[in-house]
Amino acid sequence: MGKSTGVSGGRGGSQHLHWRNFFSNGVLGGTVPIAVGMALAEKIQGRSSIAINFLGDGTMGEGVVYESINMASLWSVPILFVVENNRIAQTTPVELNLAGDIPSRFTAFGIKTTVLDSSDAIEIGSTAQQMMVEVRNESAPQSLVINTHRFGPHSKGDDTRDEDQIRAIRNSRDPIPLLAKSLTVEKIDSINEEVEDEVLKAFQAAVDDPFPEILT
Amino acid sequence: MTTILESLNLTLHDVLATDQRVVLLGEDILDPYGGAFKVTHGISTAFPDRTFTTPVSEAGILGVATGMALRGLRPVVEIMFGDFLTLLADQVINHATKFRFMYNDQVSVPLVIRVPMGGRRGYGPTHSQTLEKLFLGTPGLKVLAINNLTDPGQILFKAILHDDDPVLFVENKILYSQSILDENETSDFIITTYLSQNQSVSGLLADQYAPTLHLQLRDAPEPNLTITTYGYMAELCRQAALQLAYEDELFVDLVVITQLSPFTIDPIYKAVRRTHRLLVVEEGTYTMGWGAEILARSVENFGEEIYKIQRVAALDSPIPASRSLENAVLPDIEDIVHTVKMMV
Repeated sequence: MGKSTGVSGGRGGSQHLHWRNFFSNGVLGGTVPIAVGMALAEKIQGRSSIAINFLGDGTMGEGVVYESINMASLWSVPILFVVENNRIAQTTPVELNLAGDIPSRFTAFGIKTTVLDSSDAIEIGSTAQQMMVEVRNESAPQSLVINTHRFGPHSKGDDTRDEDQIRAIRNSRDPIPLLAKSLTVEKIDSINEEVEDEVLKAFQAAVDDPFPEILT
Repeated sequence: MTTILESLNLTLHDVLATDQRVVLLGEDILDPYGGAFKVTHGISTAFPDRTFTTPVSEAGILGVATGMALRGLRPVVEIMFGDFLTLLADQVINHATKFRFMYNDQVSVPLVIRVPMGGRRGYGPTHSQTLEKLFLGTPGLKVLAINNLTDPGQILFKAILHDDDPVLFVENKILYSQSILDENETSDFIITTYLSQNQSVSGLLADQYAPTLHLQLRDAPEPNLTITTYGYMAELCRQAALQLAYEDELFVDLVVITQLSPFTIDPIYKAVRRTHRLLVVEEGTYTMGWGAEILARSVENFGEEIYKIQRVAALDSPIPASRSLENAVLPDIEDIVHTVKMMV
């Protein structure tokens, strides 16, 4: 919303988030070497922190990705690459922009790779946790390729897929109803109420907050 | 007599010894080779844990260095040839120089990109260019270019240890083997140094540690033309100024810039309001270059105080490998002398 209290004081949008140790940018692949460098810096300063880098199937088209995973493996950098393969890049299905397969791209560089076909947060969480322990202990990179689906457009109105197809995917793969199955109706209602309240409050605060000062 | 190569090399040893946060990355920088131009010679032997010889991955190296800078280190990256800056443009323009601003000043990226630049060595179209013009005016990026009038080691030292923002540090290849001129060698000139008093230009400090020099002929009549230039062209302009004085009794002063971007026109104005004529000399191509910006600023700011203004630059052509063809493309002393004579 571009308000002064926004994550980057109005200078960044939804693509330019920074909070504590979380960074994002809007150029595909560009953050991959940066995450490798962050993890390498931690390693050579004798700290035990690791970096986690999120990529997608579309990012696999960027050359700098391969430069970066080469260096990550070459220098045994403690980093976990998480590839969200939702099978579509903006409007282009993966079949039209990716030859071969995603896991082989990492194993070719000697990076241990795990593949999940899941949108179960518990399953993904426990797998990722185990991998993070190994990345930290072995001080070496790993990759987690998660085959999943996209439920909405890339931006706002740019989803060219069939609506029935999207509905079917959402019905079978939406992680929130999957998680909700393990909860009672009362618990779900109270969570929904709490979330609704938090979002409304945040929205109202953002509406009320001033725009940033214009610097000259 | 310290050469520019020796000064840069000693400085790299010095900064690595001074500050544990300094790390060095680049292609073929390990001993015994010590880098394509030997600027990093001896570093990997003295500091093996902080010297990274890298794959041939310019964008990747720059990104890794940016990540290191975000996590408390002060990386120095050597790019083997300035021509390869095109390969890391995205990392410089969309990442390293954006982070401080777009993360609302919560982070800084102290990073120095050292790069040999320029022609006159017969390397041909893709290893001889003067490409810093592509990066000038990039918000968040300082572009410095060394010369043989100021010890470049001192500037590099401050860029690495004292500057918290990305710096593109341009080293003309011809300068490497040249000596830093001492007082005897520059005795024909009175040299004054211009450093801005913490003046902010586009959010970065102008000329804080990379001085602009004003060279005025000693015991000479009032100059009636100012040449402004940078890098190795400063040496050619210095020689042209002497030739013009001794052979033609034409007296010019020189304003030699070190910080190309961001910049302030003030030191050029100080000289031009006396001479009223400005010649801008650069090794980069003529069209849309550094000189075009200097001309534009001068016209905007100097008003009727400027009578004549012109540029000498390389032809708008790729740089041929053959020495005779290369010489025809790149500006030389003769071009400078000829243009000055046309202007006064």
